[in-house]
Amino acid sequence: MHTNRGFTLIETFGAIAILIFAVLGPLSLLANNIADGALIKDQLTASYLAQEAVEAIINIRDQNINTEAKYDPADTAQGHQLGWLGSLAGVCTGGNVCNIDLPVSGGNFSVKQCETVDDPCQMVKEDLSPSENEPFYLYRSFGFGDTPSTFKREVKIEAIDATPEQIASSDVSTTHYFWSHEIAKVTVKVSWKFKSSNYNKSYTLSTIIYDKTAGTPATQSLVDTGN
Amino acid sequence: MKNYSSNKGFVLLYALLVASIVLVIGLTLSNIIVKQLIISSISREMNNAYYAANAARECAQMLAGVNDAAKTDPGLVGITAAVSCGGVPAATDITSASYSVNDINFNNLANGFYLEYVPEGSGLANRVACGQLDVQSILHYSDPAYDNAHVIHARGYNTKCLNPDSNRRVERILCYDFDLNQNGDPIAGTNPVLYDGKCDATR
Repeated sequence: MHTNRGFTLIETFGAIAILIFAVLGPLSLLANNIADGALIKDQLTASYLAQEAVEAIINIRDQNINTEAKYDPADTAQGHQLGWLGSLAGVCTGGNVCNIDLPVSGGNFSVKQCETVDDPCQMVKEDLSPSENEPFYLYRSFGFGDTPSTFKREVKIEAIDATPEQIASSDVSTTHYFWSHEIAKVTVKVSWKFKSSNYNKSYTLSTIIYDKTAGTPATQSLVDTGN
Repeated sequence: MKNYSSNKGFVLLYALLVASIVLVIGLTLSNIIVKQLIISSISREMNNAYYAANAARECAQMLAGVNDAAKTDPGLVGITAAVSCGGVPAATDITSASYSVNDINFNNLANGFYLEYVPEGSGLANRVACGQLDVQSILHYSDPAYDNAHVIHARGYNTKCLNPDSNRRVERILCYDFDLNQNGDPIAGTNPVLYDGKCDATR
């Protein structure tokens, strides 16, 4: 009599159970991996949206510096700070949150303070087939038949307002004003809804920008006090 | 007498074999996943490092334009004293070694300076980006053809400046090359001019 021949039913069930776990484990990992692929796609979009806003701010700053934004000693009401930040000042600074649309059809950047109602800073995804002049993601108030996207973008600028400082120049006949220490910290936060009705994922990018007009000869000659 | 050449023990052998194979597969998969997570986070950290370097580069450009000494002094004397990059409130002594304002820490060092800021707003103090610039990295030299040429090496990190041993440290270096004439004015127009895309002190 062969008592130990083959497997008993119990042993077979045990083996099958182990195999099922062994197969289901990697399978669930695979499923997670596929889901993470969607997350990475969103993350990539978010990182580009954040970069877009940072570069837009740098560009607006550069435009302001190139056009005017000179310090006026008579302007005591933080006017010197408004100069180099231009359209960003007040809208994105002082604790306000704003969003920026890229130029459409050769226009200018559109900087808007986020609405305080509904879903502030939410962006719309353009439904129309985008022509080459039109950005694909826009701030919601742009409108015309677009659908809300899962992304929102919040831009904050913390400007440090410093009093212009007198520095003795090597040219002893004049005193120069510098507002070189005028800087701003730019923080762009892109959040999105991932498998949720809340903004449960986010990507933040920040940098520091400087008022580079500070020492250009044009500025210096403008602010010479002639003492 | 017992028969020792029976098949007893093979079930155990098979079980161990299957278990070890499953274990190896599981470990390999988890290893791959951990590596992927690290790699995917590096791309995010690279962005933080890039914009930290960008902050340092902007500061260097600002200093090169602002510092009166820079126009006549090849060594950029006074770079750490007269003007600084940290956003100094009016009442602060800008020659002090370090100060901090709006989450931005600024430190003057003997051979340069660095600025640190928290990329994701306050409350995440362990995540700090660092922009760093040595005085030596702003090379200022005279060239008859190009008057005064500047080369800026701005380094950005995703970590604190004084944390060189972190194995997740990502470095981005920005090179910026521009020329000023003898009056300190940028040559050819109002903006500093990129020279040949070179990031090199010796031309």
